Amino acid sequence: MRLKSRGNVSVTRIGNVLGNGMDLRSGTPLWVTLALAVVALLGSHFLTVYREGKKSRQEREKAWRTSCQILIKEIVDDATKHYCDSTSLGAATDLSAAKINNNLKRLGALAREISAVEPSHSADLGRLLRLLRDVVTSPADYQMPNRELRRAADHMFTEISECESALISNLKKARK
Amino acid sequence: MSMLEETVYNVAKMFSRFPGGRRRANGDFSGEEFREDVVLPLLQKYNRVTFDLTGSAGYSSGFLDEAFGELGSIMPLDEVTRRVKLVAVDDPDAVEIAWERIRDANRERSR
Repeated sequence: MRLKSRGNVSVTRIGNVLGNGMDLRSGTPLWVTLALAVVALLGSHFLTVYREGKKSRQEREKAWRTSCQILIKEIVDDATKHYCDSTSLGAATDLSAAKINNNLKRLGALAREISAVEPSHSADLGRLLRLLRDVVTSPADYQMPNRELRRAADHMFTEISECESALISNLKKARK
Repeated sequence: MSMLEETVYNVAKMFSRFPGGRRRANGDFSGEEFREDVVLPLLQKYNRVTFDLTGSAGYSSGFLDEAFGELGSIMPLDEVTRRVKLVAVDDPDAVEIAWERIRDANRERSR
């Protein structure tokens, strides 16, 4: 009887120290309560880290997509000017062509910074980048200073426009 | 005359950082000039040549076609693949376009 009485006194004292919310007589062991608190804290921490990471990835992807689209538009505009505008003829040809060549190279590197979830979409992207370079820079008159200006209805511009749309559509595919 | 074994030619450092157009008529540093003055003499002298396209401002398809495509029509494809290596760390499309042109020219040759 003496032993039982001492045990009761001990439990009551600990209960008083911990407060009413941690009443050990409720049946939940102290270590379980502490472990649950730690698990909840860790869970909340990792959830925040995951959400922030996802948000940052989405923002990075959005910025990347915008940069690609700006560069594609610049290439298309420069190509149109190169073949249609008389100010790109003569001595201006080299500079105009060098700018287009350089932007095509930059686009190739930029577009590959984030790969597509589907490998076939990445392969399509490579094919479209090469197609755009071919359509714009492979004509025999591309770097001829005395080339004849093309009309806006020229078939080349339809091809460039189709290629531009296909590239932008490809860039919208899921990325990882 | 025996050939030397191997060499590496960096286009940006040894030819031009700003490669030109397709033909000599298009101005300096054209693909035609590169093929006639660089590619073919190197292939006569060396058994294997690595053309490093890294570091230039960018290549037009016309330049690549004229500079490398012709190789497919003057030697068999397996010989080109054995003796020529193309690398471009910053422009993988240039390498792919050059090989496409070599294969196209080789198909034309075998018709």
